Amino acid sequence: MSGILVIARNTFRENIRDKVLYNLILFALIMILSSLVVGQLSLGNEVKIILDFGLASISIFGMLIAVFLGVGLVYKELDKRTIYALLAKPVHRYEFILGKYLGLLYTLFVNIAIMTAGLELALIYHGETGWGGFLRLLPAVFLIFLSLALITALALMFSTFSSPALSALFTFFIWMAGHFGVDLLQFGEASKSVLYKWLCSVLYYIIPNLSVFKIMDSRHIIRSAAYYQPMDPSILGNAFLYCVLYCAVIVSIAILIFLRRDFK
Amino acid sequence: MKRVHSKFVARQSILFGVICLIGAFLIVPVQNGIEKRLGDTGPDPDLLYFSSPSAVKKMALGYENILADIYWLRTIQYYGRRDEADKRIIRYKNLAALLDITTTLDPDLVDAYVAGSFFLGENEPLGAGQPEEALKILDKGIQAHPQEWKFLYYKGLVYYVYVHDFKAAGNTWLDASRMPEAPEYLEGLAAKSLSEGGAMDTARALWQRQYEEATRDDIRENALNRLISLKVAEDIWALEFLLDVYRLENGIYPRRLSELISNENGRIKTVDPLGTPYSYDPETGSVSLSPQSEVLYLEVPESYREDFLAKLFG
Repeated sequence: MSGILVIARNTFRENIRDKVLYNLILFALIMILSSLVVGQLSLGNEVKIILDFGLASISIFGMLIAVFLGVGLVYKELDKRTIYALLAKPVHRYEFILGKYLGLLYTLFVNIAIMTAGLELALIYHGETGWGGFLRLLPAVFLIFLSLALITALALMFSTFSSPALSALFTFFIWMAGHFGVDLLQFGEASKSVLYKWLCSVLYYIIPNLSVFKIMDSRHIIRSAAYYQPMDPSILGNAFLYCVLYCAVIVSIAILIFLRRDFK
Repeated sequence: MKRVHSKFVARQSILFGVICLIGAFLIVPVQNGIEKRLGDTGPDPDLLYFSSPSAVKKMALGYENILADIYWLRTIQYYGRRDEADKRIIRYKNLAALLDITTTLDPDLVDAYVAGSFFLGENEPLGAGQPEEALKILDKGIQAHPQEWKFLYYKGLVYYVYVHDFKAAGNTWLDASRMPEAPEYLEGLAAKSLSEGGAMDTARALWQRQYEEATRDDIRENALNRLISLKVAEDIWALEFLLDVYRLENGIYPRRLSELISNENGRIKTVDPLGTPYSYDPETGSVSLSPQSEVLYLEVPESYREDFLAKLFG
């Protein structure tokens, strides 16, 4: 356990030294703050615009951070040959993968916290929120974090056997496919072929269903909105369970691949 | 050696600094010159790259809300920028499509339905002059929120203001008034519009119900004034008709209105509903409300006159 934490801590330190990270956070903050200006053009929908822009920024830039840092997690160690020194120490290979994963999750957590603070500042500046608004914002951010944990797991898995460029491409494609899960199922149902139906339903369960994490938006946060819908905590619980199970499977696959890799 | 190198670096810094400054100053006039030479590039092609709302929704990849905001902002710009609209062959060709995409991406964006219906319904050059599209976008809102009275209210407004179909407006407002949380005044509004559209019996029934059931005093008072005004208008039209008949038979108008009233037309009154006799001029045969009358007369559509007289006298 201590090995995992040491690697996680070092991964976090390594990540925060990466300049790409700062650029992405800066862009996200600029985008969040620009919503203050853009919102003024929206005929009275300023808060909605700020929230939509803010949550989308956190999600998109979080995804970029997860992919760009995630795909290099294992590859960098192999490329710089630091993996030999690491594995010569009393560290198991599974500890290495888990440590890398947790380190990146921690990095994402800190980054999301910074971006959420930026969004909250924009809302406070607009004068539309208090502690209630802030608390209603957190579940939406939590869901984004869960989706990023899943993306990170995928990026990590690809980085155990592929180059960063290909890993980024694979992760991006799966991220895209993750938004079409329901369509896949519908295609299958529309088909007369049993094999095609079966294939579609298998793919539906294999590809991560990212719409599970897109269940919260501004209408769940702005209480004065025309169609305010309070969030059902059980839906959050289900999303959390789905994320934990899916990540456990993907990280296990990553460990299995990494265990069989020959570094000679 | 080191000194020579630093001098060299300083000289190069000055050289490139100057180039940078001159370049920056020159970009503005050069760019303006190019734009001037190109001149007016002709009418705006007014392109909408994606016109299918469901395709845009699929492509949103879970970011429907921010995309709806972007499309909504674009719609406002598309409508609001008159200089750009003037350059287009058809001023607001893509307005309905933009609103359709916006509301498909975010079916809860109320302003897109409401403000959008005004953008579409308003006559040119202020709006698109497409009230049928305005009705469509509001129908979409009604479909998305079947329990919301506001969309029906705005639909009635489009019928009333832009289509001038008072009967349809009245019926729509009547539907709206039956929705949960609908304000009491809607029934009165429906009655007024229906009366203008010729559906006076429905209007009278609605005002009667408002007068009996409304909880707000101002609404009850308005309903009562409407009912009284209707009675006044009917009395005056009937009296004027009888006066014309009398004149045809006798060559002159009667000296008093009471001379007109017989057993057959006993329900026609010569005093207003609050008890003040109507003013009558035997020279011209005109009947009107007395200046002493306490009735607060609200205009009754003249279009109802013929229907009423036909019903009364056959």
